[in-house]
Amino acid sequence: MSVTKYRTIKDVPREEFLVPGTPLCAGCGALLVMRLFHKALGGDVVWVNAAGCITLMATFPYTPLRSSWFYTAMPSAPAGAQGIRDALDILIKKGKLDPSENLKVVVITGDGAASDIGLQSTSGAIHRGLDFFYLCVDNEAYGNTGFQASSSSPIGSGTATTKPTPLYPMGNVLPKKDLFEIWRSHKPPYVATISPSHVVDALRKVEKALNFKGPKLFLALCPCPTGWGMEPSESVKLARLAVEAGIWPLKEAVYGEVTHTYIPLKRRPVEDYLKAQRRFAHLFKPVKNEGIIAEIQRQVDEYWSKVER
Amino acid sequence: MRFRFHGRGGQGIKTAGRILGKAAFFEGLFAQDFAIYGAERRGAPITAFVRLSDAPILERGHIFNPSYVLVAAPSLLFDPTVKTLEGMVEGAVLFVNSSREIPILQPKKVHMIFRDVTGLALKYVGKDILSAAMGAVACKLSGTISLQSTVDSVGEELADLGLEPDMIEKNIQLAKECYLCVESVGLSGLSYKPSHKVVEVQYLGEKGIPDLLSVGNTAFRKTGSWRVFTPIIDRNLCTACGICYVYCPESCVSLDEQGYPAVDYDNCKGCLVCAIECPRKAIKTGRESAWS
Repeated sequence: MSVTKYRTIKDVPREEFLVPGTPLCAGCGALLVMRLFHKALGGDVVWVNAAGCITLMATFPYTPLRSSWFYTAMPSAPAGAQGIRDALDILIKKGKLDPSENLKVVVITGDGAASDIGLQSTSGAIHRGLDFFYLCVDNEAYGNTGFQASSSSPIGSGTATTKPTPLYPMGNVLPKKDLFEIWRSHKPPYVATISPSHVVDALRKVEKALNFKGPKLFLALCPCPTGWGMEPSESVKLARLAVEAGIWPLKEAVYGEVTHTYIPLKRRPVEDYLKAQRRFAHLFKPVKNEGIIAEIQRQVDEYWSKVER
Repeated sequence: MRFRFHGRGGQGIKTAGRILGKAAFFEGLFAQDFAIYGAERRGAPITAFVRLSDAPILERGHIFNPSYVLVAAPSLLFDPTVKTLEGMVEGAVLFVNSSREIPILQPKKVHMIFRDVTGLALKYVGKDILSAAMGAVACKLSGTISLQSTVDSVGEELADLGLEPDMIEKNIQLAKECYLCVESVGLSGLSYKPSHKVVEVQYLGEKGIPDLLSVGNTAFRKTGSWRVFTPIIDRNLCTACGICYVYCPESCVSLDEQGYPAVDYDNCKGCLVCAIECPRKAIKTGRESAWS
């Protein structure tokens, strides 16, 4: 791998492209990811935003961004990105736009738009080989509208629509959709998972992705204090716990070839991660649901047993 | 009786309104309670409305002429977009959650009460959530709702929200204390005019001009008023590692030339990620008190 300019946390670029004062919740993991991502990309960016939590960032007439922003409906952010990319290319080709003023087109969506509502237009954009970045801020539910389950909600989690009931005491019974593998099966140049806790890892991945032309996915686990039911101060701590427990593997795939960028030597038990959040509280109270906790641990162990060290 | 609660998302203001409405229902009154919140959430201003009467209530919609206004976050008094005092008539009651009196310019004679219920909530529940506290205060102020109905209502409403029994018990203790910490205020001769209100859109001068070419203008919103706890950096312990700068979601920490951090208190929402992540524990936290 080529020499990286990000070696320690001291190398995080100082320039800020997001100013304070956004209307997002205190301790929002998605905002932190977006801020760091923007630092790594630089300022020449146009964000294409599918409806979701991040939409609230720029409520008219305010915007915290020092870059451009384009708002689309939930399903159509990749289509919007295609339009902007084409317009930029055509203007440059006709000599109406100086190539130095070219912009990187970045789609930002939540997990709902990425894995449910916007999946077909995303698939289409990857298939067409659109040159864009795609940042999915995954808080594992439809956080913006009251934390209803999405197809990204993990098994056993309680959301507004998968509350634990006598019939389904474990809450959500459906597995989390593996967006990384869905993207990878399209064989795009670059796919990666990142976490707000592992900043240098994230910056290096963006740096690497800048070398590729074509669709580039970044999937970020973004703790949501309101929906997950934890203190806003613990966002980064929980994101780190998810990585250390092996629930959120940090990996990348270049043209479909997967490498893990961080392998926890000794994984923390998933229980530590689960019991820190109210959305899993029903697995511990009134009686501990050993079965489902063991099943979640088994799935994590099975995943890592296939990972070569 | 018309009640208007002002608070911030996450403080339990909607539930406070529900507690008041249900308690009044237990007393045999007719009750209406509802809340309004915009697109913004935790920390953003929200309003809850309650109407109580001993006859069926035919009035609908927002309350523009409240007999009681209860403000859970004193910083809202200084937010021109919220209009906390709008429509208060002479003889109305204003309750503010604050440990000290805040000078309020109000031409009409309004009965003002200041109590620090956040302090009581931290004492009894250990969290700055004020649903039981503000609900109980409103019940008492009304002068028609008994302590028993208040406690019953707190218990039922919080159980509906799925709180653990020990948490509900703590909240009931909090509600009792808050019920006792204020006196009932009778309303006499409040005159109401039927309101045919046009909601005016308020522009904040140049800052609010809908010009999206003025990038990065959210800093004018000063979200620092959302804060309950404040991070305070101890320069003696700080090693200028920059961790707090990296992990601040809001870009509110900046570094000086030597790499030491400074906090933008105008906009810091007090999420305290910096305090948790600081490896030297050089960031202390204190309760927000200075509102001026």
